[in-house]
Amino acid sequence: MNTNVIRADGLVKSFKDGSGRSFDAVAGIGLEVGPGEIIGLLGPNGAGKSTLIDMVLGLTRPTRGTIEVFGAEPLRSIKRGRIGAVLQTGGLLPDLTVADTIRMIAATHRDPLPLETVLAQADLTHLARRRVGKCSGGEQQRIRFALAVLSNPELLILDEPTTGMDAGARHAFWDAMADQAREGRTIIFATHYIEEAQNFARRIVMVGRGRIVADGPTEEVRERASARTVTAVLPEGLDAAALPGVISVGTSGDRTTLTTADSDALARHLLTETAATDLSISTGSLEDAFLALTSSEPAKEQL
Amino acid sequence: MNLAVFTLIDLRRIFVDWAGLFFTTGLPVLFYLLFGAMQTYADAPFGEGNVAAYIMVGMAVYGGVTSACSTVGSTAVEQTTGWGRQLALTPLGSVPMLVSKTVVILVRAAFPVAAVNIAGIFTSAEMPAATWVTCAVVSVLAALPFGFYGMIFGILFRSESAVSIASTSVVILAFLGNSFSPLPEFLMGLARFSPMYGATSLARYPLSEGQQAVSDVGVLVTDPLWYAVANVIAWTIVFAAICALLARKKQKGRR
Repeated sequence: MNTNVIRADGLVKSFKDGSGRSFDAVAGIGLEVGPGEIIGLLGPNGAGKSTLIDMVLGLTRPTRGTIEVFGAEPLRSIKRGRIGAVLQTGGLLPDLTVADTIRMIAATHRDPLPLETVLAQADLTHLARRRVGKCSGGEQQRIRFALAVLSNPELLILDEPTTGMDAGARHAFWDAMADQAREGRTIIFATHYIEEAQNFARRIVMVGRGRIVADGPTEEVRERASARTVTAVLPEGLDAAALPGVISVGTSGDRTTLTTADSDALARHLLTETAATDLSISTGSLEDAFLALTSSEPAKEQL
Repeated sequence: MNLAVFTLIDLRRIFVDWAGLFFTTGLPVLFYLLFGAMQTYADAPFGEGNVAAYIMVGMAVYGGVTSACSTVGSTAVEQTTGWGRQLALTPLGSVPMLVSKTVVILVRAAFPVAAVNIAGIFTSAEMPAATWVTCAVVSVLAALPFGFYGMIFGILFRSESAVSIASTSVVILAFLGNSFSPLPEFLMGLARFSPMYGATSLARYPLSEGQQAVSDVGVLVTDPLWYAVANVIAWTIVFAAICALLARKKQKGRR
């Protein structure tokens, strides 16, 4: 029995670049997603997030490896309307009205939600008769969202859904997503806004250079991956950089801020072996974790 | 799934694009009225009908070709700019999609042909009813291969303005193909090899039986039917082959 929503194994996607050399946009990803999970997909530009999403949606075939959505080929699940997706770019006809756009896509589904319901869910009721080309970036993003939920899908995939939205619109969007989550949908979203992932995702999958660099509950990824800072007043003459496990050193006033991967060991050393006083430990944000994980890889290509 | 609704909404877009509607439908009607119906020679007999009917069919083909060219070209642009991806996320299979698009292209090509023919009915154009209907149907069908012509520009430049330029360039092809004002006889050798010659001659054939109007006084040119058929087949292959090549190249070079 396979109860996974998504199951990817050894997934690789190679592309040829301009000079004919091939590179792996996705270089071996294994991923299992269970029903009802809310996953934030994080990674810098070019990390392979969009390529991974394209493969989940059946828009791109993997070069190697297997991917199943609801225990079947992605395309089959698409045909059954079990997957809804908000794509990053394009995807709309500017000369159609908002309502006609939704009607047109609704006509392709077997059992779509009523127009009024979808308009309300995406907060588009007052814009129904407006032409898509006259809508703002944020409004167009809400139209894409409306198209994604039309088939009442069990899995919702969003590729940078809040791009082009101002702070208020972004807030409203995540409120709408919270409603979607309460209905038990599985949600995967890629984002640049780490705060969004931190607030909304229960699980974080971080991608860097085509591989998963961290995968776990949001709290855990933050804890495990982030460098922590230990701040203390150090005695005169102590070489802070030579302390065990120190990554970087900063000073402000008489306090020294030390970054480390193992805060316990460093604190123990400071308190037992040195005369350091007034010590405090703090956990970094997800942003710190993000930077630490995605930038720490050796830059082999530059050699 | 409701393919009819899907297709109807797509068709309705014809009325949103007023500039497009004018160029594909208004202009051929205007051309017919100016260069056909209002001319003194309009009532002169030609084949089974009169000169106005001969000019009317030429204008209808010109409108149909422009429309097919812009419809298919725009569709190609839409596909490459993300609407294709949006549709790929729906249960709509490629066969129903092709059926829907074919209907849209046919209707949009038939639109100007119908408009010009209606203008003909209300003015001086005259020919037997059966001939009239055959000419109109062939006008639509002969226009369709020019969808590939528009598609070349759509795939190559991925922009609506490139497609507009392509459909505007149909005017030049129409002059070259003897669809508009009669060419001097010495140019007919060239005209027979240009793309619009085949479509226009084929659509006019029921009326003209191969007779071509030329500007030289007292000269009569009658081309056999196979000239037109060969022209249509050859250019359809050329346009379609270029599209296939471009599409394959795009597929390979995809990111």
